Amino acid sequence: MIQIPLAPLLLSMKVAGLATVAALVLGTPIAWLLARGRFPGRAVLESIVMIPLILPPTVTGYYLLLLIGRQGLLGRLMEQGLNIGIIFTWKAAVLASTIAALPLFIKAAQGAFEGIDRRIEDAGRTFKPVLIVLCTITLPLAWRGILAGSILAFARAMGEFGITLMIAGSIPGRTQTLALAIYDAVQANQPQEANAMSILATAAVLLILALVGRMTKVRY
Amino acid sequence: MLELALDRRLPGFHLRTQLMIGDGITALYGPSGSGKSLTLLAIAGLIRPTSGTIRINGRTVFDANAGIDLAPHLRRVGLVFQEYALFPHKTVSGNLSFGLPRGTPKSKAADRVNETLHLLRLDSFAQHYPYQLSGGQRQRVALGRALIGRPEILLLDEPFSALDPAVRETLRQELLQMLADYKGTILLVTHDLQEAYLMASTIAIIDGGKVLQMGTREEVLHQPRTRRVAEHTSAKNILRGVACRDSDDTWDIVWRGHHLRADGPAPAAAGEVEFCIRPEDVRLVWPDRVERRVNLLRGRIVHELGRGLDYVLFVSLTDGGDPGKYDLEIQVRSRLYDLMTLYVGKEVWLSLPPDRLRLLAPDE
Repeated sequence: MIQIPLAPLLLSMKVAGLATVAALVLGTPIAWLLARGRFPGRAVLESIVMIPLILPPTVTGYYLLLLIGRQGLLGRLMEQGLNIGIIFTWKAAVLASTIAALPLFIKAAQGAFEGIDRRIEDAGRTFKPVLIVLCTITLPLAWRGILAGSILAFARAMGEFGITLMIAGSIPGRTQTLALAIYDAVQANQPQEANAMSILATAAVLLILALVGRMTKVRY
Repeated sequence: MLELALDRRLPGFHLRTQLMIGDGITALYGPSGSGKSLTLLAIAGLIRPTSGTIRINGRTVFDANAGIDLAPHLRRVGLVFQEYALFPHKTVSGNLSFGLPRGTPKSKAADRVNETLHLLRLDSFAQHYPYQLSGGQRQRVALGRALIGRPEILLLDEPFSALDPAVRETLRQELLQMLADYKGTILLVTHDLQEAYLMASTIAIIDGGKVLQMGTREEVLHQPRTRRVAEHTSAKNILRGVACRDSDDTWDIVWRGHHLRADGPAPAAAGEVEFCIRPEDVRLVWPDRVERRVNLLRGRIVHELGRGLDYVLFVSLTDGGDPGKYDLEIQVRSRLYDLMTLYVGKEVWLSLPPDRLRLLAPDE
């Protein structure tokens, strides 16, 4: 009887969940800006947002390491000023997954916003202030795209490997997520554990997809 | 009452509309790309003009110099969009209640929604979604949504363009009936002259971002000021001659060697002028009544178009040079066409009534 290590799965769920929420909160306004905004530098912002999708994850991870590491610009500030060190903790894993997931989320949400007939929002604006139109017309109409983006983001975060390894490491029980644990199990020649964790990961993702599919039956 | 003077530059287009319209229905008529929809959006506050002013019942809602630019929902303007722009995720009730101002008490809101549903004969559709409605029902919802907040001015952007031609006629009547109770200014945007004439008492013709002429519907149709207005109102026979003033309100125009008398004040100076007459205003004269007519011409029908209720005849003057080409386009009822036994090749007498000949001012 082999022991199924549950800790990596639980850590992965926590990290991917938090990263998805972070991508949602950060990404929705950016996606809206990219879809509707008319401002100088829009094209530049759009390119910057896409960088993590294009760069090799290890390169992105390396840059982040330079930025938030103990000697890094942000890392030193945070450690000295706020006494927060995030490098090689689970927080770094969340950061890694958020950065990786953000472009996918933004692309999906941007498409959803762009797909809304502008005149419908304009019609709303003749009755109610912009903010109310945003909450009661725009977001409900973009909701499916935003949800699709969140699923993509969650999936990407679950599978995150390269950036996480660079800035969070693979410390068992602390920063070793499922993807890293499977790799380590293979390296350590423990095929049963690798099998068990892979099946677990597949089942968990399928379950979430099924749940989300049920939630998003839309009538109109 | 709506007063506006707008200026807005866009790439390749310059909107500079000036309008002053009173209560009742006014049509803003022009081809697509003439700036009519843009004008509506500016009145509603959905686009910002570069300069100018907009006043609704004396209340300034936009003044570029004074820095006034009221948000759309504070302007008390109801706008019915082309294709209606209903909220697809809200029911008919939800769409209507969105049009009520914020802070309307719940019970009062429900009353107003029910009242509007009843008025629009949509009582049994309260819980339907827009995709479950016919085109006419959608139009009524859009109208109800625009009117439920009691706006001071109602803007209609091509309200019939999303509908089948077959139902348009009925729905125009229906819309007029529903608007009969509305006491405010209505501005209807359309690219259909017949629709403008049918729906509105006043017509403003707009093209190239400018209002070319505005007046009662008869005025605009029968007294076009310039060649461009005449073209937009399908005057068809736009002719060129030399005019001199006979008396205060009578002019003598020499056209193709014929002296024609034109009555009515003319916006043109003497000399080489353009003038026009509508196809339905040209009279065909029975040969035995020729002596009693003025502005008499003789021509030959060179081409005809049967359109069911009427015929369009293309007539070339018999003393004109080029055969094949036509000089006048004439519209006659099918009954007259039969009575006079008209056919291509037949020679006919024509009369151009002096009060229907209209001298045109040069375009600015």
